[in-house]
Amino acid sequence: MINAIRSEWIKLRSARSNIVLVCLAIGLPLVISTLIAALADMRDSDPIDVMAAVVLGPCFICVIMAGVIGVLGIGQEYRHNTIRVTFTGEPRRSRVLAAKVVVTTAFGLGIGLLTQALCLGVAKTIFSVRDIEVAFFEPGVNTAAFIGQVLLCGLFTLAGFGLGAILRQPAGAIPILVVFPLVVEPILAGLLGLIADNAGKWLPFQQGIRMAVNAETGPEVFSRLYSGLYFGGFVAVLVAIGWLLVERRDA
Amino acid sequence: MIQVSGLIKRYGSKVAVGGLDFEIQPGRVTGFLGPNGSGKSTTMRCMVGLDRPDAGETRFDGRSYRELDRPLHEVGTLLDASYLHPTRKARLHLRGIAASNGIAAGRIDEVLAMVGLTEVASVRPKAYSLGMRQRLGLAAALLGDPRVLILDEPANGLDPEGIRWIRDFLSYLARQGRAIFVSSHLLSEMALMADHLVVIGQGRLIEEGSAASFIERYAERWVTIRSPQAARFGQLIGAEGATVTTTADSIEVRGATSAELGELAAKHGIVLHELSPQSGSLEDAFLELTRGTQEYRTEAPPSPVSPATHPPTRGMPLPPPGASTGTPEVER
Repeated sequence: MINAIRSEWIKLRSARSNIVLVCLAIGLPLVISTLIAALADMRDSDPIDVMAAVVLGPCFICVIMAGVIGVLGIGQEYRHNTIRVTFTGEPRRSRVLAAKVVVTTAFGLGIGLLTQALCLGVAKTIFSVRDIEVAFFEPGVNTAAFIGQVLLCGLFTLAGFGLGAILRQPAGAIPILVVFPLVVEPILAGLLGLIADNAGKWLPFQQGIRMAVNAETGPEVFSRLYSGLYFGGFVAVLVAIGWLLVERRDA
Repeated sequence: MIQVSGLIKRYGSKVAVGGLDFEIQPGRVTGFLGPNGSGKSTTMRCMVGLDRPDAGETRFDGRSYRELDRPLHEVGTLLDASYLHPTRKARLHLRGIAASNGIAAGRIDEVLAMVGLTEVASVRPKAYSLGMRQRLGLAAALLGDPRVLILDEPANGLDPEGIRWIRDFLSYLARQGRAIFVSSHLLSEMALMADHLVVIGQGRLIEEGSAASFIERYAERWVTIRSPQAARFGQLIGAEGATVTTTADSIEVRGATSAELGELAAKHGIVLHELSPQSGSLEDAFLELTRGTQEYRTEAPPSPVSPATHPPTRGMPLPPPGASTGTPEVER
């Protein structure tokens, strides 16, 4: 298993597309955070708003990029047929899949944590240089949202992996991973709201995103914890289907 | 020893491999021949567990491929040179494969040197020619110093020097006691390289045996004779029941051996300038054996036609009768 993990780690960091995605995942939020911290006057802002503006909001780009990296982790193997080389090196497919899950999830969590920490650090430094006293952390809520978005990065990576394993083509999986949570689900939530109150709360990606929302919720929606568990369950189903298909199909 | 037994693979209603049984012995190159679409690649994929056979199995010294603990140390595989990430540098491509079987990084430089890619190890494969990709694929197959090599058309895309190199290289590996199983459509190369042949058609075994016996059994044989008394000798041979074909400067005899013909010539005082036994190539034998099993067939190319009967080119106006065009007049 250690050999399989080492192999997957080499593959993940040696493909140019992954390197570009990591640069975008870290670079874009950092630029946005820097601009906001440099230009916005947040002197009297609520810590919740500050955190949303300079860390959680910009870093959602990283969440999406982490999902794309998850798709590419297996989708590109099928696209370029390198999966056949992988499975001749390690014919026990479960071992390969487990290694991919470990490596891509750890990678997603890692870049999520790194990006948010960098954005926070840069914004703090800029505010300090501008002599603006800004509070970032309100005990409880902001810390939970900060951690929630890091976990969301990991879960999006896994969701991407599951979709990549099911569809075997990045060109099909990436649009679904981007468009479904950002476009389709909000529309669906609106339509479902016409049928029943809060029916939209059953949409999985919306619940996942709630993990990173820095406001507590009322009784009509899931709590942050249950949102995370609900989305985690959905991702587990995606991964399980993908896993089963990879095990059963010809490579 | 590798034992393939009862291998069946279907894709929907199409039977790609229909019950194959053969063995691959160490210490020799076993050639795998068959027309396009005969199931060679599918068989190889099934052997290493990439495709799941509907029935049958492949055993490597009694174990299935999935049961091999670190398979690259036992079996090296090159199924298609295009199985590469285009932007992953060759050395990193090999590192990823080597890591999966705990192969030391130092071995990567060794195999790169073996296949002659040391200079371009840090180049991304999208800039590689097909021949270079084949060499990289072969390097990957050799990483674990395996006792068995399974290679699907490894000479595809190689230049003449590369083809000779791979032929010598595989023969060298076989002499070391390794089992080499190689498919190729370059039959002339197979004739020079393979000690043993497995021939399939439409997913079924047609023939298995040594390359020499294969040619002996299936290739056409004849005797070429050149003589100043060819016409008379031809009549004498015909009277003995053999078939005589007259060519521009010789006669070809089928149905008699060179010894018999030599004795016949001596008996009748015929002067001979040449009496040489001929036999068809492996290609001839292969075509003879697989006749009727080709999945994809083409018509014979049309024979060249003379300008006088060539139809007018579409869209080009014909000159009026009698007009001089500087070329022979086209017949309409």
